[in-house]
Amino acid sequence: MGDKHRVRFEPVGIEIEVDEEQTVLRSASEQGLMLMHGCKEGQCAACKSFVLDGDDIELDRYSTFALPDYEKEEGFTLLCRAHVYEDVTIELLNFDEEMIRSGLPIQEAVAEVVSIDHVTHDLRHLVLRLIEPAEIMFFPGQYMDIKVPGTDETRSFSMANTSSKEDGRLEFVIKVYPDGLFSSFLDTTLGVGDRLDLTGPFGVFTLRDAPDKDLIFVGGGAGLAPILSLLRSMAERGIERKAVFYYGARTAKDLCFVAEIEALREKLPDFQFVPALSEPAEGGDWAGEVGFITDVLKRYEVDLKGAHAYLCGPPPMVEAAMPLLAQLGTPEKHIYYDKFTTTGGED
Amino acid sequence: MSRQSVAKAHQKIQELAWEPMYHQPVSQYGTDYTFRKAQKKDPLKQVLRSYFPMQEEKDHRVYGASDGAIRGNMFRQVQERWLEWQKLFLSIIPLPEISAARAMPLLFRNVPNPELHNGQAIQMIDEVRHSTIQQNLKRLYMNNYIDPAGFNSSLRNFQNDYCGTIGRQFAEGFITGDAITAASIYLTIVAETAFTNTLFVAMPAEAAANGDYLLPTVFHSVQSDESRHISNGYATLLMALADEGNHQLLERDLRYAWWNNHRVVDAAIGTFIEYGTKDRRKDRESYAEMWRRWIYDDYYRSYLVPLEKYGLVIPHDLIEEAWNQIWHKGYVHEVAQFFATGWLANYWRIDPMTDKDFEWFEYKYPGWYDRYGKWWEQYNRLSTPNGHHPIVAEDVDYQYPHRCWTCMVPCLVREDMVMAEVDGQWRTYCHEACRWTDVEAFRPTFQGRNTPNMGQLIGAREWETLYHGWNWADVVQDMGFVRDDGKTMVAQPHLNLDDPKKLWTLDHLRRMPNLQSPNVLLNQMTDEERAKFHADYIRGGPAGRPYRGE
Amino acid sequence: MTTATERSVPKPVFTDAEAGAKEFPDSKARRFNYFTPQKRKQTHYEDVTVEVQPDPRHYLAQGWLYGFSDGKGGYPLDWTVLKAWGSDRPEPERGPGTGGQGYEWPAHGWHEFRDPNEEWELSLYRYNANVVRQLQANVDAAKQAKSFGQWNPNWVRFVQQNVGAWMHVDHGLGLYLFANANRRGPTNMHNTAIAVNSMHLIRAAQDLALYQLTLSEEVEGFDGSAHLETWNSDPAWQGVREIAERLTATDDWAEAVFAANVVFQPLVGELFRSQLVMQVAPRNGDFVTPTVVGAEEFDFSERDLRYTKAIFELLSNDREFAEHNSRIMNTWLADWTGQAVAAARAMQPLWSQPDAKPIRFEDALDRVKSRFAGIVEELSLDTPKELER
Repeated sequence: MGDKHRVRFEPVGIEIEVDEEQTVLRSASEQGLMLMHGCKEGQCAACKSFVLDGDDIELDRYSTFALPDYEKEEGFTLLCRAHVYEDVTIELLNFDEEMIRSGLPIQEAVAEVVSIDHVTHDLRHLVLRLIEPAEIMFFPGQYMDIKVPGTDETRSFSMANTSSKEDGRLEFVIKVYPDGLFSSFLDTTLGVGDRLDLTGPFGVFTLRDAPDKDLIFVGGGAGLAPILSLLRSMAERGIERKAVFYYGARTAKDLCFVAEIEALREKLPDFQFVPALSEPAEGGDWAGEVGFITDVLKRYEVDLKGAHAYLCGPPPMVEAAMPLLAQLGTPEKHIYYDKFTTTGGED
Repeated sequence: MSRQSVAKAHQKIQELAWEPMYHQPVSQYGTDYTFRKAQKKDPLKQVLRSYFPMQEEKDHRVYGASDGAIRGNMFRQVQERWLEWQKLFLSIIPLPEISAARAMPLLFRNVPNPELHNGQAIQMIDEVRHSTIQQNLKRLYMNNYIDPAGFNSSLRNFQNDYCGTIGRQFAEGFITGDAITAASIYLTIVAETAFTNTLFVAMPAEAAANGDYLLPTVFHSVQSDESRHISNGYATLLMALADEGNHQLLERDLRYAWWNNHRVVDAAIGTFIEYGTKDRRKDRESYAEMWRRWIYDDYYRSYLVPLEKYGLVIPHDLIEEAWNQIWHKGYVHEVAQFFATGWLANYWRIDPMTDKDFEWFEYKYPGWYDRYGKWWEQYNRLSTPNGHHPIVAEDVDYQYPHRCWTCMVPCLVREDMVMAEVDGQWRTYCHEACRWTDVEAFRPTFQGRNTPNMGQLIGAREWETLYHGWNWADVVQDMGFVRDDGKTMVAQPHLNLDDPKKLWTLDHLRRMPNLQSPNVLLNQMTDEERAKFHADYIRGGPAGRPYRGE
Repeated sequence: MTTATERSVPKPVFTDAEAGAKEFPDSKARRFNYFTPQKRKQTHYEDVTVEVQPDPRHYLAQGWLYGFSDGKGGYPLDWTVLKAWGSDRPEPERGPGTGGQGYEWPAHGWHEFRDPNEEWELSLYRYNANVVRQLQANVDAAKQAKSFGQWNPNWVRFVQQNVGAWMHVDHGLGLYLFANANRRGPTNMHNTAIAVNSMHLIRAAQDLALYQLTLSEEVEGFDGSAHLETWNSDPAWQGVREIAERLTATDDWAEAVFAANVVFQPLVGELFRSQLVMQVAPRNGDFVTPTVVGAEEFDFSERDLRYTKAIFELLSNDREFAEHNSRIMNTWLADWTGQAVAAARAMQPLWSQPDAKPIRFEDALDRVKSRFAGIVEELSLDTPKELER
């Protein structure tokens, strides 16, 4: 085996590691990525893609009809023939957005607890490190099922980070309910170093490629996690779409990660952050918006015909936001939410 | 044009589509599939402003290479064994290509997604390109290769010879019947995505090994267009899968298309590659090895299987069975042996196999000699006229096979032959899957469901019927496979052009017994005779050996 | 000492399989012998197109192998009501001992058609690649010369709405009439010519769309989506739209091609392109739009019309069915001309939109009518009285 390098695929934002001795296509397919291809012999051009970043790429023998020199010089490449010798970013030209994601293998994993932090009175920031396998590929916005030890029950939680590449890290934001099964376990039993069984990734709450569409995020509570993941991923990938995040909470002490989200504006020039409180403390120093987050959104937005919306939060919030967005013109098929996240808290 | 603007340009041309207000476009092709309007994106963004110059550039390369081949006297190095088979291949292939062009409109009204129609229109003109560029290659062979016979009569030959007929169903399957079955599943999902890999990847390499570097140029340029077609097929398949009501039809069509492609394409390309080459290096991949890699590992395991979770029912059994046919049942060898048996009814010359060939076959397909070696020795012995008949009329331990009514390749793997009385006629089938295709799939109902748009198998599907009771000389003359002296045959069972006495003529054929149609004879039998015939037939083989009793 | 292992590669062998190396029967027979060329010597075009699509009336011994659900296979001659000599002869019946001979080549008159443009892949890509390259050079040059900046607001509006609306016609006919008809003609020569026609139109539609895209970027206030409203609801365009839709709704492939290229294009297409846009644009300071629209005009007048005339001239002079065909084509003329003239008249308001005016509408209409009458006469058909509406 040779050295390994990172290959990032845009506009889907997927990253894999590729051994120098393997072609990119082969490696992607072993890692569950469904990339469009045909002959695998460098002849049919079905896997032709564009190299956005990096140039140390060698190609096995291929047909110059499939990749003429002038295209190669412009930056096109054939994934079925390409070996990479440095980290590269490749733009896929020929792909089906739904299908490519469907290829991610659903895996069973074991992870251990790195930390459990109280980020608000009822939200916990749970950080895990994967033991076996050491890494799981997922898309920002997806979730894992975590088994509640000692039971057959699982609970679904979205990742708040963007990849488990670094140290097998998985971050979650979890709301604790007074008598919730996982909540009580999380607050009373679970400790650093304990192991958990996970299955995943699942879910379609992933950022769709549409460079010319504005983005509206609406979230609150534990629904912050997947939105945070999407925002972090946009910052990493330099996606400069116009975006607004409407973050709703009851009181100031229900907000978390505010400083990080504010700071994202440095990397995302067209990003606007609108936190709002429905019940600000009397006489408190809250200078932001007041009201239900949907009402705030209604005050801010007039026409969302050209927008894609991503919703994640408590069911009443999601239920109120959907008709409002539709009324403002957002096409129904471009309002994205994951069903599990709207089923609310715990039984 | 900068690359960035390709996406924008592609986006802009989507504005061209419009919903009719006054009249609906004509709807001429039916399907039993249902599609919901969906905004499935055209996965491969192609704008004509960059497409035309790109194709023109490819053409420059192709025609430049043609000039180069002539200037470099390529034909002094070309193996005749190889080029003779091109008389068959290049007589067939321009029709499937042009038929693929013709198939595209079958999708327009049936797949309600204007964005895909653009891709289909470009595929249409790609296919016009392929058909005419292949005709041109054949013309070049005719003009520059030692023996133009068979090339010069190519399209007439193709249309009236049984080998052409076998190849022709590949083309007609694209353009008739249920529009989605034909133009999407059979054409783009199976024929193009699975089988053109062996066609267009394996053939050029073999051509080059035999001194022909023009075919690689033409076919690589053709294959570089396939990506668009693969994408078209994939997009339509995903749309079809989205509607559960289609799953039963998809299952039916994948079974039919898979099995028919295997029967037809493996017969032809397998023979060209294994029996049309002089390259007998032990490390050259055999057709079976290539098949395993491209069709089994790649198409089956990495293209089809992942679609299973979307409800696609994959014919795992038939895929395994196709491999079984190629590897254990000698499908390609049986076909090549049959072509050589019937050399006199064809329009190319078939070179006998030598010891070197025998050695290679035995190495690649252990047990080959025991099955086929003796017969090929007989073929060699009988190849020049010396008072005997052509091999088909000599006793060489070979039973002339019955035709498969569905795929029209004969029932060569004897043990698999199935017989049925269908539409008032006794028919033979090479395999249960072919019987199923005729009796169950191509019918107006399928598993109790109405399929009013499904096509039919039509035509005089057994070639021998046409010539039942004819003298062989008249048969060959009727088909026109005679050279310009009026008597020397186009076909020959050897490559020797030096000595006119070694060339077979119509006169040699006059002395042969008349041709008999197996199917006509089958229908004349009593039920008992037929049952006995079937029982014996399936105990015959391998290599066509007749059953001679316990 | 080491012995290098020999590389495993196929070895070239001297075979001398070159033309002329030996003499034997057929050794000089180097031309396709299964068809009669139109002229003494067969052309390259004929060699690559003729007979690729088979015909059960001559060589196709075993007949078509797959049928539609009604049992019809291949390319039924009755997909048009027009007939060429021999059309009515039955397909040869096949059965035990019939042999494979059909009628002698050509079994019927449809096979006599040759595309005078001799289109096949080489000519198609050369021609269209040249067009797109030239157009892009024109547009780029205009961009660099900042010539779009000189357009007055009325002209900007004219181009965004009307030139924009026309691309829908090209797109609709290109895909749903011509590409559709490439499945329906009786010979490969017909269907190849029709497929080439479809690419001209689809390319022209994209040329116009991408030109619009450039204008949106270059011209302050150019509304790149204005064409949609014009096409959907401007009364001046609804006549054009209705006839364009009716063309795509025509089942008989020959009628559709005839109505589009003999009636609609001369009376409506050329009226709009040659008599309006190309005339009036320069007067309004626009030298680029005429080159874009002109490319399409050239496709039609120099190529598409030419093959169309060749198809229908043969039929109106057919040795067996001249009268039958002429009668039907005259009915088509009467039917389509009335609607085409009405569509043309509905466009009249366009003539008063630009600041600098074109020639009078009535004069423009007279010009296209007289050109149309000339085409009809060349086809030995009657000028329909509907022309005078």
